Amino acid sequence: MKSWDNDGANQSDPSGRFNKTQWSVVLRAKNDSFTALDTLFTRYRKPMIIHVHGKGFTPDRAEDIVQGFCERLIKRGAKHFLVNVAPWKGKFRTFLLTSLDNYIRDEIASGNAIKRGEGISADSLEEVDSEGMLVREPKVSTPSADLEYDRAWAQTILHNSLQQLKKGYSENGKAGLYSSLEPVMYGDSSSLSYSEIGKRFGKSEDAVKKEAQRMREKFRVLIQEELKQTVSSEDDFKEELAYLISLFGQSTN
Amino acid sequence: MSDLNTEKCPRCGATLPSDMPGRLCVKCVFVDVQEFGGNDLKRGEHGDSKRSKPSDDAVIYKKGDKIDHFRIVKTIDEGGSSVVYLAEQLDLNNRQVALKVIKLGKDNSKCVKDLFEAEIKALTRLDHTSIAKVYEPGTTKDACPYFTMELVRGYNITDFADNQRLTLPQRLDLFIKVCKAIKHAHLKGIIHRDIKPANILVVEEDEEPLPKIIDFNIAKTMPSRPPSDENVIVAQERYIGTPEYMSPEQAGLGNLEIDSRTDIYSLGVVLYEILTGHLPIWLNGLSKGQQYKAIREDKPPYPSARLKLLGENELLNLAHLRRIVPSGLRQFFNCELDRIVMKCLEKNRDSRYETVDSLAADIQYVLGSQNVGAVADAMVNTVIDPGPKNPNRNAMIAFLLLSIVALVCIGIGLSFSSSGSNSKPEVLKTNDISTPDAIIITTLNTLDRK
Repeated sequence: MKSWDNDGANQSDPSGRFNKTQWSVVLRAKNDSFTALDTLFTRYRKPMIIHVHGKGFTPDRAEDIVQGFCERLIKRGAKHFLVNVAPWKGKFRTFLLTSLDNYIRDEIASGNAIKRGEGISADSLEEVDSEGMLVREPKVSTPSADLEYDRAWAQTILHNSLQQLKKGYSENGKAGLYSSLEPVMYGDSSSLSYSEIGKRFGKSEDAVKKEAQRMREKFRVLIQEELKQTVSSEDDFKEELAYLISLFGQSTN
Repeated sequence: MSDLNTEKCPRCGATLPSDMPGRLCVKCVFVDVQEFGGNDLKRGEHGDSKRSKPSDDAVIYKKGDKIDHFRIVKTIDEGGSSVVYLAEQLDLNNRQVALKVIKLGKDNSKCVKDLFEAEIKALTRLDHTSIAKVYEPGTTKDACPYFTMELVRGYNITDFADNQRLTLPQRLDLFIKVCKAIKHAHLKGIIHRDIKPANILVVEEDEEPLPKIIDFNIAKTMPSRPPSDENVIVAQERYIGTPEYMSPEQAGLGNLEIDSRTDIYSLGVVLYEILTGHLPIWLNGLSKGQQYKAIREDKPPYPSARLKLLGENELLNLAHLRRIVPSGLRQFFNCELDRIVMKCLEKNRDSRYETVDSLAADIQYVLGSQNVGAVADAMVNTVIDPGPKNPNRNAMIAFLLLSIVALVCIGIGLSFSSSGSNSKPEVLKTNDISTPDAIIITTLNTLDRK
C-alpha cells in the first residue's frame, strides 16, 4: 500500500493534501468505493468490536455484529448510511460509530439478524420481563462507552502505523534491526543499548542512534498519513489529533 | 476488553495501554506528532529531517545556496539552536569547511545569539592540533551569526578504537591526547561541557591516530579567566550537555556553578566507555528527571567489576576488539586503573582530579607499568591475525604453541618434583609469560620476513 525509498521515507501523499485518501475518495465521489471502504473497515474492526461489546454484547457476538455491519455497509454503499448520519464532520471515526449504532438499532427494530436479548452478556440478562423478553435495550452509547471506542481508535491508528513501519523495514531486509530498535523508539527500559544493537548489526553507536531517530520520524509520518486517511481536511486532521491527545489526558490523570 | 492496566507513563502520567507494544504511550506519541507539525514532516535528505521548535522560524539553506563567499554543499548536522553545513569556500580554492549557522526563533533570538557569539569568541582563542580550528565568523543576510571551522572527517573515538581494534594501551594513549587538547582549552579558560565520543573525532595523521575535539557549542568561559568582558553569562547554566556524559553538577547536584571538573567527569565517562565498552551509569529508558537523579545519585561499578557482569560472549567480543584474551582484559584493570577512572567519576567534584593534566599523568604512569600487557596484546593479535604471507605459518604456529605447552608441562613437572607433591601449583603471573611471548613474536617476525 505504501512504498519506501532507500531512506525509508514514505512517498505517498507528499503534499499533505487530502484529495487522495481512501476516505476522501468515498466522500468526494458520493459513490462507494468498495475497496476503500473494505480496507478501512478491516483496519478499524477492533474499535467497532469494543464499542459493540460496550453495549452489552458478548465479545463473540460483538464480532458477528460488526461483521454483519461491514457486509451491509459495503453491500448498500456508504451513501445509504451517509444520508442518515449527521453530524459526522467528515471524520471516518464518527461516521463509523454513528452508522454502527444506527445499524444495531435498525436491526433490532426489524427483528433481523440481531434479536432482543441475543448475545447480551450475563449481567444484562437479569433484566427480562415475565415473558422472558429483555426489558432493557442494549446499552445506549454512554460518554464512557464512546470514549472507550475513541481510545481504541487511537490505539488502532498507532498499531496500523507500527505495522506499516515494520513492513517498510522488512521489505528493506532490516527486520532484525527493526525488532531491536522498536523498543528503543519510545524508551522501553528493557531494550538493548545503542552500542549493544550496534555490535549486533555491525554499526557504530552513532549510526544506530541516527537510525533510531529516522525510525521515529518515519513513525510520525506514518501516523499522520494514517490519520489523514480518516479525515477529509487539514483542519479536521488537526482537530482529530488534538482530540485524540485529549482522550488520554482526560481519562487517566 | 476494557483496559485494566494501571501503569503510568513516566513522561506524561497517562495510563499505558496494556496491549500496545514496547509500552508505547499513546498520548506521548500523538503529542510528538502534533509538536512536529501536520505537514512539516516531509521526506528530505538525511540530516535535514531533524527538527525542533526553534527551527520553525529559521532559514534552512540548501545545496547551492550561498552565504557570503561560502557555497552550501549539504547539511551535516542540526541541533536545537544551530545547523552545521558542509560548505565550499569560494575564495580559497573551494576549500571545504564546516559552516555553523545559528537558528534564530521568535523566543530564543537574544539568548541564543549571545551564546553563539560567545562561542565564536571563545573558540578563536583556541589553537591546538587536536581541536577543530575556527576560521572566520560572519553574519548571514537574515542577520544570523555564523562561523566556519575546520572540517573534520573522522570517526568518533569509541568507533575508531573498536574499528581499528586498538589495544588497551593504544586506547589509553589516544585518551591522553584528548586530555592534552582539553587541557589547552582549560588553560584558555574554556570549559567544553559536552565532552562525549561524538564530539571527539579521530583522524589519522602520519599513520598516527589524532583526536580532534569538535562542537564547543555549549562551551563557556571560566568566570575567573581574563579578560572579563569576554566572560559570558549563559542563560541556561544547568542541564546542558548529553545525559550519558553529564556531570552530577550539570544534572543539578548542589546547585554549583560549572567548572573545569565537569569536563573531567565527562572524560571519565569516555574513558570508562572506551575501556569497558559500556557506560558507567545505565540511563536507557529513564525519563529526563530519572536520568538526572541517576547521574546525581547512582554509583557506577568499578570498570573491573563491570567486566565481571558481562556474559561470556560479550566478554569475548570485548576482548577481541582490544586484541587481548579475556583473562588479560581482566588483568589489565588493576587497582590503579580502576582508581583513576573512578576518581574522574566522583559525585563530589572536590574528590575528582583537579586538572586534566594530573589525570593524564596518572594514565601515563599506568601505561608505563603495562609493558607486559602490551606484549600479551601483541601475542593475541599475532595469533588471531596470522596473515597470508607464509603457507606453512599456521602449522609452524601450532608446532610452536605445542612446544611451549610441552615446555611448560615439563617445567611444572620439574617444579612439582622439586617442591614435593603437597605444594600448590603456582598461578602464572603476567611476568611469567613474557618469555614465551617473546619467542613467538620473534619467530613470527622472522617468518614474516621470509
